[in-house]
Amino acid sequence: MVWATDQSWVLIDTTVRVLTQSAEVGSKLDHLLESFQQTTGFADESRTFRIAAEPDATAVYQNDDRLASYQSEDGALKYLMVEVNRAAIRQSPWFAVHAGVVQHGESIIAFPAVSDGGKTTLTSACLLRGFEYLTDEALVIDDSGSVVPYPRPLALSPWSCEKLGLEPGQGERLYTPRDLDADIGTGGPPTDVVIPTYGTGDMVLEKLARSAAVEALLTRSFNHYKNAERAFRLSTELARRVNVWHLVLGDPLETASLLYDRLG
Amino acid sequence: MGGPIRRSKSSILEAEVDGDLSLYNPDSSQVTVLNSSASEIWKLIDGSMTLTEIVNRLAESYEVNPDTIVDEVQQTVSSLTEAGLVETTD
Repeated sequence: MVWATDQSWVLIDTTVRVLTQSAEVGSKLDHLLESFQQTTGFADESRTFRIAAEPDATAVYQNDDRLASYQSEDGALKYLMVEVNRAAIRQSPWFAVHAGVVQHGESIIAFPAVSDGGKTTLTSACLLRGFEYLTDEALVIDDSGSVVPYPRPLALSPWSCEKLGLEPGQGERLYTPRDLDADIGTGGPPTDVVIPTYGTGDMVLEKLARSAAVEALLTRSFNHYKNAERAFRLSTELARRVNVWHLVLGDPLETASLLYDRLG
Repeated sequence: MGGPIRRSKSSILEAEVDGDLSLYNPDSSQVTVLNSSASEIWKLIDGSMTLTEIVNRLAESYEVNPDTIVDEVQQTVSSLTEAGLVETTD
């Protein structure tokens, strides 16, 4: 097979390589992963993906395994982003928690995932309200307690796009931080953990005991089981130095404004 | 009131955060947060004391009648048992 593009990026600490047959698909991919550093480093076979044009479909391969095929190139790219994300988080050498994270100056605010979704919408709303982007997926904490940016593209549903005043796609649409006029944050020690829940009334932001962050982080961790002692140490150390909040979610943009005014 | 109460065989990790004690059972991935009075009870669970003995020890420390704290201690031990953190013996 002839490959039009062959590019590699570093996501968290993992090199992911993608080959495409179509230069146009390669260009779209380049846009979607523009927040990550490109590299010429080695990606092993399990982290090498191929997007191939077939007679009636666009197929995604992981090494030589055909994972899925789609009628549209955009469908294949969305699927590829899911697989690339999975590979990056699975390989993460650091403690990783399912959460959105935004930054404004020295303030770094993490939202551990809500059980029935919403963190990508809230993260996107925060970017539109002036926060910098760190991730909508994984709060990655290195061994010194600092957040490692993981600024993957944000997948927004038509409902989310409507709420945020963005142009919707068919199904989920991928937005890069630049598409939302947001910069990438530099990372650093988290200052606030905000635990969101859905409510039917007014938005509320109220302080919680710091110990609430320990449970929020550990129970939403992707990889605590790999090194339980390290996960517990980092969670408790982080909990001791952050402010912990309970947030009853309202309209996403209004909620983001509340966070900007109170915590940003 | 039964035999000695002991901690579960799992290696429970513990750390204090702002006066609350966080306990983490890596085997079940469960996190339990204890307030200061529950922490006192947890610290006395060493496999040698029965519930009655724990109640008496705490009553002596705080100079209160054991009858006034027995329900709270019983309830805390039940919660710790449900969370898989302690085991009671007959």
